[in-house]
Amino acid sequence: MDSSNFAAEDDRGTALVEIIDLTRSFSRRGVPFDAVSHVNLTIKPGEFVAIVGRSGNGKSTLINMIAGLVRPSSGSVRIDGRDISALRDRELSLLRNSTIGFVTQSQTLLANLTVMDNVTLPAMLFGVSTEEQGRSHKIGQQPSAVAPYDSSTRQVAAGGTTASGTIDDPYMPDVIAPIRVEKQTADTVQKKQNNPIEDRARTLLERLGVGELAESHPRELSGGEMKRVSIARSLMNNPKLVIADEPTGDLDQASTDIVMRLLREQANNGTAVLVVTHDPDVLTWADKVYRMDAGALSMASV
Amino acid sequence: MTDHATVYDSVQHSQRRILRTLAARNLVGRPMRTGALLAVVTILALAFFGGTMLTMNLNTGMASMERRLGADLMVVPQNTAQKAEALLTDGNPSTFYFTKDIADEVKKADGIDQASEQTYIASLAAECCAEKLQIIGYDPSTDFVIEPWVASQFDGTLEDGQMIAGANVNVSADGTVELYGHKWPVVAQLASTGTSLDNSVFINLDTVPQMVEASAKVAKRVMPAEYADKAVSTVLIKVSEGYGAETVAENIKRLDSRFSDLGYVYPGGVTATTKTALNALVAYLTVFVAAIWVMGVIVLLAVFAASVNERKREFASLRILGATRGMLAGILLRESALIGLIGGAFGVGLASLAIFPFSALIGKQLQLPYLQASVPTVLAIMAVTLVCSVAIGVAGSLAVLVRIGRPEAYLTLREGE
Repeated sequence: MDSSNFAAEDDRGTALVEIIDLTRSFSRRGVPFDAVSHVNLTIKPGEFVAIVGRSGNGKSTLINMIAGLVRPSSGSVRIDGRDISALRDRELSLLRNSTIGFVTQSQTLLANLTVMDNVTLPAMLFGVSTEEQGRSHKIGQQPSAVAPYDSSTRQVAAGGTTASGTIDDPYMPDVIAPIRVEKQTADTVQKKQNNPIEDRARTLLERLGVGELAESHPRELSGGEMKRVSIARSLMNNPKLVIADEPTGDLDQASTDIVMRLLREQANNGTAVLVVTHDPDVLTWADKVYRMDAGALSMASV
Repeated sequence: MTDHATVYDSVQHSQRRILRTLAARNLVGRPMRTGALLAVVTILALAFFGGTMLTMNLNTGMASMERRLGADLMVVPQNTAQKAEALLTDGNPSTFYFTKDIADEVKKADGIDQASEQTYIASLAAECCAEKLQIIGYDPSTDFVIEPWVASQFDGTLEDGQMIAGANVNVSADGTVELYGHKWPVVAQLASTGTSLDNSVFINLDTVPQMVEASAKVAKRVMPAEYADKAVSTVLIKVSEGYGAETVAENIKRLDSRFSDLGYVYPGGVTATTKTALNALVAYLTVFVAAIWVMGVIVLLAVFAASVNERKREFASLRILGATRGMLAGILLRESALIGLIGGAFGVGLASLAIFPFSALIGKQLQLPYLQASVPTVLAIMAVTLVCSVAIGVAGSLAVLVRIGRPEAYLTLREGE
């Protein structure tokens, strides 16, 4: 085993999400209660974790604390080695933007933007600096805000292609390919005018079966279509962690399969996936299933 | 390298497009709310700009009038004091006179430092002018009222047959004014004063008989021929140090019992009366504008505060995607600044449509000296109005900014579910 292989092995062993003794208390009619009670959880890169449980048992509060959207009463959450409670607003926002893809239970698409603009929005929030432009040109890579998809290992699709220019597996046409810079030829002149962010968004939308809706507005979409667009948006920045709150809630069986296959592929590519669900079909795609009951988390038997 | 640059430019273009247009798209996407906010800001800007311009123009007119009235006392013929006062402000042109021998007697009274005669003739409607013209004959050798004012634009001697034209008199391309079928050469045209002097022409006293003769040839003679060279409409008096205008008037009356029947006009008093009326009007305007602004701010705060609930989901969604609180504030501030800017521009535009074309009419209706402020002043007030409009828009969105400044965006989202 050479040193790089060893390093890769070591990375897989490092937890992406580490939750230690996490508690969040609320007060209902003056009576305090723990919505999340002393939860410990570790999720590694490439792991697909599902949490089940009845409504009101603290599942949403737990994932919101993991995403840094709700502050814990006690305990800690570490994402990618960083304690999120110690982060300032900008650092936390950047982490949320670049490391976490979040699919909410309710519809959160921006009504005044088209589907395409909604999906590309996460890639637009933190601009590309001139410094980054110069650096990326020097080393011959895409600017970091454009393609956080540069990791050759994380970009490998289920069929085994790599970002370094090897041929995609023809039997896996639905793989979301990494962005590549092609050699300049007459044929590629027009392609180069395209925007890699929009290209990626379009690929995601097509993959989720809503590619033809790119120029539509959310008000023109059904609930299921909106959910699939939300999932495309959550994957836009190629996050290391995808958190999905009831991702198949509004979907029919065919759409559920499309979504779950995509999330599974993300996990296979090295992305940690955390899903909160009531849907028993979802559990079959997961590596680990936990049950949340009265704020306490325990391993479930599937 | 070129590939990367092209791709990078394309990406940056997209980033700029979405983030910069998000505020505008939010405004377009909520036409009712945007329309209501725009209407409020437009009304505020209209009231502010209109009120300020009105106040400014009245003050400018007043200052201009004060500068023109260098005399402490005007002695005029019997029963013509009101006409003379009207000439000082914005009354109609008129003709009145007594004879030069009376004027010469009046000038002998004690307490007079300087005295100069003027003769007023009201023309018929002439080709040169929209209204009747006031012809003012003055004596350049003794004058202390008109010359200092004219000096800034004409430093020569006004020869016989020549004219100095007021601001509203149409001087033809060949530099003449046609009056009573005769073309009178114009040596200077004066700046606007906001008073009836703008509709006047000035000639020297020796030209008055020519003017009377010219009038007799084409229309009704403006005064009998025998009076043409000895008619005097007023004796303008500057009193000596230590004398009051009333005291000098008494001294004049003591010269001859007939002089008690003459008219005595105190331009300082006219100024004071006008000033009182002006101050009252300005006070009303200020209260009116202030009241509109207070109400406007309350309405804006209410509309923005109401939109907080409506927009909870939008803000929470942006936070989930990784937007910082600063980014949300930036979007909101851009929206409210846009509302302020567009509303402000509408307000200034609407007020301008009323104020600038109808300046003369406004002055006439108010019965006060009204003089359009200079272009730089108007531009400065426009800029201040726009700045205030933007500021009021931003102030209105403060409630929302405070709300989104709080942590735990997702809790807010759940409230909205």
